[in-house]
Amino acid sequence: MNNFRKTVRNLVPVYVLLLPCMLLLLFMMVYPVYQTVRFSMAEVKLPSFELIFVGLHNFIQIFSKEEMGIVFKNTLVWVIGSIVVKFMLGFWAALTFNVHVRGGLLLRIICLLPWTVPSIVSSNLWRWILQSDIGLLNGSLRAYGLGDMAHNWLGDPNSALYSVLVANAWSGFPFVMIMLLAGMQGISKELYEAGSMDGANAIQLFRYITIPSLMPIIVIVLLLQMIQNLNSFDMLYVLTGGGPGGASETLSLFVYRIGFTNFDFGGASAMSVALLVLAIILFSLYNLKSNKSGKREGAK
Amino acid sequence: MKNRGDETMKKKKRFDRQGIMLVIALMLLASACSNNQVTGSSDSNTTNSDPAQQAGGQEPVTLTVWMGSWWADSAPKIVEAYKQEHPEITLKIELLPINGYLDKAVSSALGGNAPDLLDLDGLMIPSMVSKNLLEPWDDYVKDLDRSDFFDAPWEASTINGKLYGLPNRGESMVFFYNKTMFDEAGVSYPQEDWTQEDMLEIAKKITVPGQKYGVGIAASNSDPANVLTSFSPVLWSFGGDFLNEDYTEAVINSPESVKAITFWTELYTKHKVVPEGSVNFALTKDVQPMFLNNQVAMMPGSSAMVLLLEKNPQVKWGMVLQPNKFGRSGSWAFTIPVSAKHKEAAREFALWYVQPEIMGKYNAVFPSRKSATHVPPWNSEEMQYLLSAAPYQKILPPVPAWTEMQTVIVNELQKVLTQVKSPQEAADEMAKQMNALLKK
Repeated sequence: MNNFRKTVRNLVPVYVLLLPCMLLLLFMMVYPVYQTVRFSMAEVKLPSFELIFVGLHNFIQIFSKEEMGIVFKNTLVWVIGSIVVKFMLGFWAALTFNVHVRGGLLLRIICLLPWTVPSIVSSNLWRWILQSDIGLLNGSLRAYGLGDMAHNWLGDPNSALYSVLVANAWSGFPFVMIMLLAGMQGISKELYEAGSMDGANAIQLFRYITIPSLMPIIVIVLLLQMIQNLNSFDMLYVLTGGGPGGASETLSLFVYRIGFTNFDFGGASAMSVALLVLAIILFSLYNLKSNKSGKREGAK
Repeated sequence: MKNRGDETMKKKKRFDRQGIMLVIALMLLASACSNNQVTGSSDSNTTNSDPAQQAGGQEPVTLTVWMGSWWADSAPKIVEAYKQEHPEITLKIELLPINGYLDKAVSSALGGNAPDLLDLDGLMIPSMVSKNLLEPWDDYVKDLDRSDFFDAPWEASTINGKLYGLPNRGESMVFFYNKTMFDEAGVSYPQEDWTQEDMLEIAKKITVPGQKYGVGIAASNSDPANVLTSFSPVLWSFGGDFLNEDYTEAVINSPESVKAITFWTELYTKHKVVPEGSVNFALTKDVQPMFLNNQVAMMPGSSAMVLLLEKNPQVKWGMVLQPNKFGRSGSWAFTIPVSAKHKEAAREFALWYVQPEIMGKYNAVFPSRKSATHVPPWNSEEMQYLLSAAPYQKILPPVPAWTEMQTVIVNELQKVLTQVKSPQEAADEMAKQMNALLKK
């Protein structure tokens, strides 16, 4: 009896304090996901939002659309390409700023600016830069006699996606830079000293000391970037709108078009649920892998 | 030493707290100032109660109207004028940009926070009506002189025999040409009865690749209405159309229509008389600046273009009916969402506004009725010229799935422009998808 009362006395305040957070999670996370799953298996009648159960019809309809192949391919190219370019730029910047130089702080702040500019502003800025006839890029190329390299960046289906990718990388690499820089500054200098005393050159130091020490941060940043790039929307929408002819349409633009241009909420929800399942699978794989390696470490 | 540490910690904590309060205060201030609204005087609550009590207890009503951002100059004047008429009503006109206008309108209507009165493009109305989002006007317009209103905007707002919008804008599209560029190239100005082929010949003579282009088109899917403005007159000139007469079948892949698609896309792919970036162009955002800059010699436009050119006196320009005379009718109308809170007041305002004297005085765009065009600026020579083009304007099909069909059309046109598909293939695909949408 006494034990029971003690446990209750200990646990009740805990749950009471947790309650606001749990309610918030319930309304902002659980309910919308539940609603989306319901929509995905129903035909949504507007404006009353009446739901008529149709089973997997929405899924079949969406996945049998002609443009699905291109949309998936574009999304894959977009996510992998963005991550690779952002990591390259981020690493390069972080390595540079890891060394203390005069004016380094100012440079670091300047490098941070692309990330702080609101995405709509930077999208429109890049739209002007990449504009084919009077844009900054082509104009500069033509002014310096490199007119042959001037290209219809956003209007050519072969280059549209990659042009937006460059703009997106410019906008997003500072985040990667900051995370990696913070990680690098946590690596003890003694490790490097020990390494160079053993005769390691710069590349070996990087490969065997910097990367392994940064591994936890790299994994986190990688996961965050995957999610962020999967959801990328505003730059693509402003710069190409998914065009020309669907050449730069990614999954997020596709869901938007199905949901808000065609008002097929059932179909858009079906696609979203498919994405959710994919994300859950990826996370589970990651968890399994880290559990395995954790066990191995523990056993050692 | 310990004391100093404590003190600095306390000071730091105070500054941190003050810093946070300052940031929160700034954020609240910024969010309060960010509403783009035009309202009546801010102390309307106190001044309203007096006349309201005198008027026998009429409740002060706040009427919310959504219109396009191009009404920015006129909106305050309208609010002032209406306040004189109805001091007990606080009129709020909220201005939205064209990008995503329909998305915002439908989302708010579905979400239950629609405005009381919503200004809509004629080609957005079928989509809203199909979702049962708008109230009909028929019972309330019996006293209006129907013959005074232009046909095209009125027809565009009539779905299944019921009127769902009270037109306030009836644009006629004509071609604008840049006299400076014509003179430089030594080409004589276009004549009234010219054809699309004439237009092409003139464009070829003026075009200097990389520097000057004869004509401007739009193909960006961020503003599909613009693309239709550019493309549909060509379609109609060749005898083609989107749907058949009773809107039951797509005829976009008929031989005449395919000829039109070929002609329009070849302006870019074969003759190269349009700017390089046309695939991503919107008429207002991209072609207009080039026209003002003497880089594009011809483009379609309406009264908004006239007003723009009047603000740019350095440009020498002229107007002419479009090749083969066809133009896409531009119409906007006042609609009442089903979930509006003050429908009575909204109707009263709209009916007050469409009176010829009021509309003629305050419209930022071409009025929807003839008698409103007798006052400045609509009685100017240029504006009256637009009036003369009214009989040749055609509307786009007022079917519910039109917005979806638009996306398909623009998408396929882009594929032809980028030479991924042939005009026939694109037209067949358009027809296939449009027929599927018609069946829904």
